[in-house]
Amino acid sequence: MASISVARVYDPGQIQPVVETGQNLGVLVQGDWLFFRVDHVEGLPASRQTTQDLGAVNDAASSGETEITVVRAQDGNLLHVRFLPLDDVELDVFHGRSTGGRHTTYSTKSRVSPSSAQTDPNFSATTSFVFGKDRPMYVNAYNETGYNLAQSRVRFFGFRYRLDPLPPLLSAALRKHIRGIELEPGEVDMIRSLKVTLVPAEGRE
Amino acid sequence: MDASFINSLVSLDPILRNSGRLHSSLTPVSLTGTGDTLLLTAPTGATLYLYCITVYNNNSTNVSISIGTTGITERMVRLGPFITDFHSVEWLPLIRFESDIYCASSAGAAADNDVEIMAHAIAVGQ
Repeated sequence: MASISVARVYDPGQIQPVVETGQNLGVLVQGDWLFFRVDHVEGLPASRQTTQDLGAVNDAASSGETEITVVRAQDGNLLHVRFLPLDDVELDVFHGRSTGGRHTTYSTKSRVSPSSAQTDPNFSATTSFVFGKDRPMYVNAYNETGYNLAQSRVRFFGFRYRLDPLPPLLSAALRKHIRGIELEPGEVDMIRSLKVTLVPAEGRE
Repeated sequence: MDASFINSLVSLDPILRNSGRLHSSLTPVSLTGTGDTLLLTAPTGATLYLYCITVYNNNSTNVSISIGTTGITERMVRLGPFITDFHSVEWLPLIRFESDIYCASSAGAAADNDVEIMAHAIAVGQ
């Protein structure tokens, strides 16, 4: 039977690719699993080019939800990133404007601040995936410093995976297998030697 | 204040610890008048945290300086006076600048190279 593993993307330590070139990936997108063969993996180093300034933010104000254009993904690509603020702001993160709120509990929404590094030095808890071009990331930067800030920069780093969809019959069999639905004998043979890594590509509201 | 105090502040602050790198003057800047003089250019997209200046005052009069951003939006209104023949390092408590650092001197019409300043900073965001 297919070997299914779940990528441990929130483990402590530095960010690492969840798969290598040639391996298979299952991506959870809007409640459904999509399956791909990864044909290219490359790093996105933390850099000025992957830093976005959300602009000047006055004291006790926020930047407003702003699309993060530096980590837009092309269709057929999955970005696997972490991020950190370079200025003294609190970051409220969304996947899709105002909808896919990230880092939520029942009663509150956690923000990422520079001091998040005190308990999570590698920003593991900020791990996020951007799948294709239709559900970009949005961030709202809050200034609670007591004075106005001229900049509110967020720096991203991680990996890009280029994806090649697995054949529909194979994907359908994997989907049934993950959901615990009994497979037809032909489907069992089809996925017998397949190894797939699953990533929780989107936060659920 | 001394260098060990600066070390402590840098290790305390996650922004400097995670994203900072040293960015310093390569040559002294000569202050020949009371106008704003560019002291240190910020790398593209970076903010600067100034932790130290070196001051050379060969002028016959004492000199005070102000430090800030363009025009001078002052961060350090008056530092000194640095007496004649003051040649030394002045530690600062990591003052933040959103862009290039400018300096103004109280010494009007000083001779070239009489009052010289170097800036030593940490750049964040480059």
